[in-house]
Amino acid sequence: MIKLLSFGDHLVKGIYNVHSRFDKVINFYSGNTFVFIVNNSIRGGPFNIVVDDVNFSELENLIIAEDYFLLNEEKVFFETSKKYDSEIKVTNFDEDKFKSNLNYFEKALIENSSGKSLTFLLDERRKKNFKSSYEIEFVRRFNVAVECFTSSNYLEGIKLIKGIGFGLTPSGDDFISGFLIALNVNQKLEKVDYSNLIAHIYEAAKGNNAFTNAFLLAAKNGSLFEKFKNLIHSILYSGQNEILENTRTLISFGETSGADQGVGFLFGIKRNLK
Amino acid sequence: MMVTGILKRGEYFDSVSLMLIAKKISELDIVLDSAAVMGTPENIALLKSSGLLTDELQNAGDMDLMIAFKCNSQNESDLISKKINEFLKKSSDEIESPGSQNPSSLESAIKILPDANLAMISVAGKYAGDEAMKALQSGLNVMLFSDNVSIEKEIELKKFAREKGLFVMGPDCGTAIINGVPLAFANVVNRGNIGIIAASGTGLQEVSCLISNSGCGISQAIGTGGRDVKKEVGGIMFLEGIKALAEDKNTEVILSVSKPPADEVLIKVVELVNTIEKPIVGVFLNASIDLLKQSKINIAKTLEEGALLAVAYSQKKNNKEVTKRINVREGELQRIAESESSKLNADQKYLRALFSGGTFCDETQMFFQKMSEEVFSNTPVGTVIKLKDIWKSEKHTIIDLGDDEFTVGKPHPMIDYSTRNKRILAEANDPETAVILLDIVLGYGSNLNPLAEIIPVIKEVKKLTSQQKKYLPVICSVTGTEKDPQNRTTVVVALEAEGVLVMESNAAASKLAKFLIEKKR
Repeated sequence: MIKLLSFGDHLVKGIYNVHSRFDKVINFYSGNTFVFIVNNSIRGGPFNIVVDDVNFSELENLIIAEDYFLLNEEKVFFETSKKYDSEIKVTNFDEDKFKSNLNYFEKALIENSSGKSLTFLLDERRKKNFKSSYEIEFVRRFNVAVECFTSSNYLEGIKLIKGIGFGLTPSGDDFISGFLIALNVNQKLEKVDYSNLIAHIYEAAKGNNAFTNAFLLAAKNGSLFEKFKNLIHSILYSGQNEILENTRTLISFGETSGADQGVGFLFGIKRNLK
Repeated sequence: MMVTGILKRGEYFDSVSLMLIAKKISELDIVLDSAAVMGTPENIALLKSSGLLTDELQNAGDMDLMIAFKCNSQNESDLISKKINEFLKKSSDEIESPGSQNPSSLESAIKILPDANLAMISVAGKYAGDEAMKALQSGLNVMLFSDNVSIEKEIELKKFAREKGLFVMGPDCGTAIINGVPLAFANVVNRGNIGIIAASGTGLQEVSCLISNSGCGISQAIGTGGRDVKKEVGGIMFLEGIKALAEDKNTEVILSVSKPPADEVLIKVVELVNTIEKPIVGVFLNASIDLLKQSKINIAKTLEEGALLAVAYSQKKNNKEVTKRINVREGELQRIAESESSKLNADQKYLRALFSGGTFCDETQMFFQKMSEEVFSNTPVGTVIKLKDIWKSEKHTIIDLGDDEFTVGKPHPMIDYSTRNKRILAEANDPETAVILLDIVLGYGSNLNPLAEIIPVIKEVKKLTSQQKKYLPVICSVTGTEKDPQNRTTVVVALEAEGVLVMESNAAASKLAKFLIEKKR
């Protein structure tokens, strides 16, 4: 019997087919809409259904209805108490502590992430991990893109990095997701409206890859996956141990995806702190 | 030179697998340049500007895998393509059989291994307690490697386990040997009739290795996590461990090891031990000896003495032999200290002890309690003073580099020597340093090639001190056995070849360091 642990707050009703299949995740799609069936190590998210007692290799069919889902013909009701809230709430926060925690997060990210992650943008020494001509060109593009971002020429920067890099969600798209999340958090911290900028960046970043678009859309809407939400919460309100733990949890997502999102987030959040 | 492109339609890989494949390709000697990425239009453009785009790859889609490489000839290209297909097949096989050996939950793990009776849990602290409770509710004993579990949760877990007749080793339990199987940081030791209960990870490793190196062996080595013997937890599992060893038919001698336990816990231990027939040896570092006077525990002052007493009981020998052996050895240590101290210059006065094992830091502080000069530590015990700045030594300084302040964002110093290596060089540069004291802990979980880490630093120290026209002794204990993957003898011989004074135990190493300082006065 499938055990439901949590379900996302942005699930869309529909009949879904398998898009891609991994050890702890099955990605289902219906048109341009995605639902991710995941185990507990992946945690919650706006489009996630977190389940236990499931053999992932046997999952084939998914139907999302109003108050239940059918997974391989097994019907499971959505219990309200298990609904995951993807919005980050920002109440009072100590700005000095926040800045100091951000610096610590940056350090933790550099020290713990894969050599091929975008942390070379934070620490030049990590460029030495990129040796092939593809990788050298990859680094060059990101360096130019960062200059564009620094001079607020976001759309040019996005053109340079969208869709490039490793994995099913390319590094460039992960960076942009992190940057969009940061803009959403900045809106709450500064009580300033960045919705136009967020919309422009999203429009420039989305492409033909529906899978990547789903992550970009969530970031645009400020809907956070649990790992990222916990990390931001700890940067706002907790100490170094919790930040380190959440950083390590974030970067365990893919070889570089979590770290790349983290780098994008840092660039976005620090943009307004200067 | 030629460029070859391989397009795998619909063959997506997660980034971990993809990078592994890319790495394997780039490591082939005949590959001059390569890339393995998904077929996004942007990646196609990037391959083009890198000179790696071929006709085959022009029409790739987002869900297609593109592999491109440069080599010198068609023959090489064919060979590389064959290798790539092998890499991809292996990776696909792993993806297609998820769960076969990689269960996604405790429940599915139990289905795969229904006879298992112990779960080892190593997840983020805030989730670890709940996972441990799930395991206990499923009838499994638990080794809880994770730290950052609240003390309330620890008490709840341990009380629940006690009711069910189960064990919870931990939280923050780094080592155990159960039915001969080393768990986490543990050494490959002989099996035998000595059972160990320990609220001290490095302490357990040290005594189990010393016992094994003396020709005896271990029946069970149960870790409890250091907090178990604190007042709040009340020694729940320490007491249950003693009871279990008392009932275990393969255990003839019990050795209990702990950092300073709460007096309340020590009283309960004494009460329990007085009801047990088997000989019991106790090492309670820095504990109140008065509380132990009325007990039948054979008290040992050091981990080494505890291990040797247990060996004597195990072999049914007179335990006075242990005292004699230690006394004889002390004479040897005095002679070495005399010779070494005569080589020091007038400014060299202080000990600098840099430990990876927390229990060793406590044990060495015990030897340095009554020095005329002040003694400092980041984890002070007794009269030792807390260091103001953990990165800067003062007078005699004894450091636990495994303490949280040093390990945030870094692996444990038994794995990653970098922090300690930097500190060794800093201490060598200090004109007041008279002796550097180190530990090296071998076994599963620890760095598999410690010599590659430590020897270059020892060489650097020798170079540095030679330039400064001074002599600086380095004393080191090596905790491990011949059967450990690193092999203790190999490590000892290499250290001695570089002039390091290698001792058989931390107690001996600490005593030598102390004698050396005293002789210098």
